[in-house]
Amino acid sequence: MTDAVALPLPPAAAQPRSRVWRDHTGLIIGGTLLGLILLASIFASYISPHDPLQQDLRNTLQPPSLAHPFGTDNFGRDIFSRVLHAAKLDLMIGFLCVLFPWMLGTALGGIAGYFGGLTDTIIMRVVDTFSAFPFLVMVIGIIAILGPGLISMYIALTLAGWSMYARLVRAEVLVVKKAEYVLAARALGYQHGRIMFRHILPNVITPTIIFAMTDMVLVILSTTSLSFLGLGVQPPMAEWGIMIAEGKGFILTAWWMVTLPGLAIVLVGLALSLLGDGIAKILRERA
Amino acid sequence: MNTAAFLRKRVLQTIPVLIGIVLTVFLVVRLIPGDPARIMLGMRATDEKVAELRADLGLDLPIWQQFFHFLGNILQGELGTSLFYRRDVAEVIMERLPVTVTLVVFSVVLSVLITVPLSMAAAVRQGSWIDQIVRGISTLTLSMPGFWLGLNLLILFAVIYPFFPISGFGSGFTDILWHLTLPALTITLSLAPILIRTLRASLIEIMHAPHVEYARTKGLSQGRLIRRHVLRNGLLATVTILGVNIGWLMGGSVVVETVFSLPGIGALIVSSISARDYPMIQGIALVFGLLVVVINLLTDILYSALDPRVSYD
Repeated sequence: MTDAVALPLPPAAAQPRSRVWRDHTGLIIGGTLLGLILLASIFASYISPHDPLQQDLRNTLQPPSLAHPFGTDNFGRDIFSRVLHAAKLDLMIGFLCVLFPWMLGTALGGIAGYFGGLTDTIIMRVVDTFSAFPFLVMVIGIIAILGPGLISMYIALTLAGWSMYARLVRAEVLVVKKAEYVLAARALGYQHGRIMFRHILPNVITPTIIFAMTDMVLVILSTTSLSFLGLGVQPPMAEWGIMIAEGKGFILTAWWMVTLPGLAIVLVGLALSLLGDGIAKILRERA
Repeated sequence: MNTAAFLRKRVLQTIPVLIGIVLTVFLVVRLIPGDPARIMLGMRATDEKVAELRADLGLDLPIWQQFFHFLGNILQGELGTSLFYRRDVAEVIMERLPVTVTLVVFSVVLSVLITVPLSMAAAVRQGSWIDQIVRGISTLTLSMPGFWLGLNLLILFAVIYPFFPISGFGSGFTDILWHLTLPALTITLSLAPILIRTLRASLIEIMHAPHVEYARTKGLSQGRLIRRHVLRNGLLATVTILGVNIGWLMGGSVVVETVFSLPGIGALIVSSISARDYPMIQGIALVFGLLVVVINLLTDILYSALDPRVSYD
């Protein structure tokens, strides 16, 4: 009986390399891609061929060439350098705009699920109301109150995004709080805070992290959309959405001002999707 | 519980959500830091003008009175006067609403036409090259922001190969469809990956359901099996998934209307923010919220009509 349970799993390294590759192609490609993008954003000032702010009015709207791989914009600035320098800002915004709603949603969802009763009813009614509005309309509404800008965008995306996490965590907590180890902790007379953080939180967090990975793709698309609409990051900062908005006026003559900065967004989104799917797959297989 | 009781219960359930929406929209103006009337009119406005607007918006009443005042106005279809257009907000919204609704409906039709056959093909031949290609392309388009996709479609099909107009709404049925093709395609391309992902998963689940397995052991041909047993359940899944994503669709319309300069309420809310036209923002937020509630309600009712097994409790 016992030795059947104790059979050791073969260590990961023992698998043939081709099998690791075949099972986790997306994860490997996504991880590598994201790693490269992170490196490029950190070392942007070393690898970019030009100063991102340097105007060159004799070389405006130049198509892509060896000197300017992504061409130049209407002020003669090198688009490739600007895309590289914007990466740090865009990635940081994307990360924070997932982190804040994740924290708020996990806290409120956890409280609702753990205490139940009236607390639960009130929090969940608020969740229902918040999810009734279309995500982007809600974000735009909040930005309308606070005025356009980066801080407003953080607040708006947090307020609009937390409800999904709250739903997810509450559902998980409802299951976990009936588990024997939680009942045992309660019987031992531990305080609510300790039970929530030490016993419940570690066991409900996995699905929220998987969701956060896919959410981050949508959040980056939303933040660049907001900046594109003039509601997020404000010019003259180099940001992908703003760069595309600036290119909008030149689509008749300079397609590269729109198409090429957008490729950066697509690349980040693709890397995150592949990575998220890959991690979700591993966690599902473990479960 | 019978159907009538289900409907009654489902409609009653929307009431707290409706109150929540009205309350949120009401709070929009009250939460503006500082004096909303002053901010709306700008620093150069005279104190008399500001006081007048404050009285007009009912801002000098106690807060609970303000809310009932607001609620009463909404129930009468009275959404205030636009500060920018100097016209009735409800009137301006009603003029522009058809554009947004047409765009959304067109996008839904296009999405169904594209996603249902693709998900079906991917689900039936799970793991085949078709499945791989469909999944690969949807992962790729999922990463594309709508505004970028729209601008690239414009560059490709309106500038380089001028098949479609660059902007505007047009008049008459075919002309409008022609003007809306690229915008609707943009929304469809960003919506399709989400739809395909969910639909493919639920179709695979349906194909392994006991009744389908039973039909297969009876020796039904693959084609018959899909037509008779999988398609109907797949339709249910499509309705649900579309209902869930309706908010995403409306958000898409905000961006796409701005990119293609369409005169709908999505583009209007963006320009109203720059103009600090708060009555207009309130009005549009309310309309969007109501649309989502109504569409979710219709989805549930449609679902219960399509699926006799749906549980009524």
